[in-house]
Amino acid sequence: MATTDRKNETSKSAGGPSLSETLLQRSYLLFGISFVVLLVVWEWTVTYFEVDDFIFPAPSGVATALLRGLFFYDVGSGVGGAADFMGLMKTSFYNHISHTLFEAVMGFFMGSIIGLGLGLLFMQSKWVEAIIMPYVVAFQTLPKLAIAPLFIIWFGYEVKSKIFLAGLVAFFPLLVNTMVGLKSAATDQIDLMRSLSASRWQMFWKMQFPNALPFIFAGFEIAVVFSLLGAILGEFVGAGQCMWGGRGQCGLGILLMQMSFSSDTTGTFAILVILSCMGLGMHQVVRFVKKKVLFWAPETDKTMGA
Amino acid sequence: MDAYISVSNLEKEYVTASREIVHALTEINFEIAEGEFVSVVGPSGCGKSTLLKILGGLLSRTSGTCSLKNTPIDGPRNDVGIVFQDPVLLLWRNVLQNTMLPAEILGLDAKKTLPRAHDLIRLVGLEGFEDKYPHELSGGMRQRNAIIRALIHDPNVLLMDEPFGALDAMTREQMNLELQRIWLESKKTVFFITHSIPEAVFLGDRVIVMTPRPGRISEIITVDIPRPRSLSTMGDEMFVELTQKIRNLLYVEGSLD
Ligand SMILES: Nc1ncnc2c1ncn2[C@@H]1O[C@H](COP(=O)(O)OP(=O)(O)OP(=O)(O)O)[C@@H](O)[C@H]1O
Ligand SMILES: [Mg+2]
Repeated sequence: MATTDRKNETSKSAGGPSLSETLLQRSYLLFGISFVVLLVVWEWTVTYFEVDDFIFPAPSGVATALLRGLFFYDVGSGVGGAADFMGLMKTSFYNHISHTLFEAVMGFFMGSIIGLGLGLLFMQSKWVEAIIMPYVVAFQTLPKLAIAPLFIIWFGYEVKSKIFLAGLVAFFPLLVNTMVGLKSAATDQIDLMRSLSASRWQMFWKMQFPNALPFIFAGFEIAVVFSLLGAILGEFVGAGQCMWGGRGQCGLGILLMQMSFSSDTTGTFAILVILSCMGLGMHQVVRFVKKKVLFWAPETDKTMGA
Repeated sequence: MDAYISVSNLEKEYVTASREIVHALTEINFEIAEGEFVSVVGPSGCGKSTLLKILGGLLSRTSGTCSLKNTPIDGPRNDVGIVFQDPVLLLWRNVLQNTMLPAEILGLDAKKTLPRAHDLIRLVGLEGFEDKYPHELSGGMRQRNAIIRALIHDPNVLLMDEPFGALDAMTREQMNLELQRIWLESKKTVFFITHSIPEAVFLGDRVIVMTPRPGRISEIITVDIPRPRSLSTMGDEMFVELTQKIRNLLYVEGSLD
């Protein structure tokens, strides 16, 4: 509400909004225009120079593959005589999407809740922080790609290993952001609470924790995107059987691998479109919750520990 | 004089991160009687906030003694209300909730404190803004919110660090009158830091004049002007004389340019 008021004021003070102002204020409009322009230029370039679909498909081809996969349960584009090695292409996009989404969302909740919890715990005692933190940081610096095969060995090919991998990558941003957030309280605020002889508990719940919320939500925003990457990574290393509907193996990651084996670049692009839509969608959900919870916080980017 | 707050031979040194020693206060000696209104003026950096935080039990002293009601000050106390130099409102609480914070923390009965909170909100002209959050308030409104927060638990002692610094001249005069009225009614003991010499004289029974590097008390001036004082008091011969005297003290010390 307050933001709309402010917007109206600025436009009024400038004596009616000009076109450029309108565009900047409605960034989605700007995005829409630039996106259409991009598609047109892309389509035209690919057709004009007769670029092979295998090298770089035209947007129209990608759109067709996408629609076919979404509505006609026929995932492969068939370009270049794509062979269906694993029978994946007979499984609808929705089965693959739901698998990956399930893994990513479960991993997100698991990893971020544990990260948040450990962040809160570490801040209760300097000792715990000093002893455990080095291990956590060392672990974080390991390339996740190297850990992924281990997760398959430990937790199997089924969804469990993907969820844990997604959780692992979602965990760290929450841990770091929670810790930074809890330390962010200004001396003034601490003085205020001390002057009232607040107990540690009151200090924490009435001041420290709310203060950390903007940082924690910045952590969620990163974690939600990471968890999708984690799930895909897990599927790359070894996909599990379809859990509901569909035959054979399920997951966008394994589908992506399959398409690349069969040199189906158009199909690959279609999956990438789906993945980025999923990432954006999950990110938007987090942002929506954040807006509701943090209505009181000045809109600043508190992005840490990415 | 019956000393309610008593400070003697107070010294304060800060040790900075780079191990430098900043001598913030030296040879601070004064007493404040119960129900007395003492103003403090001095240039920026002369240690006023430091002194206030020591009195509030928020900062340790390097040497010397400080006592309140004959007990040494060695930590925060519930019968002291502090208005900080910045409002320090909790951003996730609205005006009413910020006002009620001390009552909540001290575990006071909400049935008694809630009506009081509404009275205070009315007193400082924030009615209608009870459910507004700090980011929806002007700087002056935030400061007024901070002032009534310090009053909600009805402390005997009020420590105020430039509470009206963020207000425009008109609101400031009004708040001065309000503060005088509150004080006359409640007879709280007030330690009031300000940058404004007229404000210090207008409100104070006495004015502590401080000079910097290191912060020390240059003189304590008694203001013998009868109460209640009104804005026209500022034109009185006595008032003008006292403000001039303080101004001279500050200039002679070479601390104001
Ligand atoms: N935490 C600290 N560490 C080191 N030095 C400090 C610290 N706090 C204050 N000082 C120094 O102590 C001196 C007094 O500071 P103080 O904040 O008490 O001044 P002040 O009189 O309140 O100034 P102002 O009117 O600008 O608020 C200053 O020189 C300041 O640099
Ligand atoms: Mg100060």
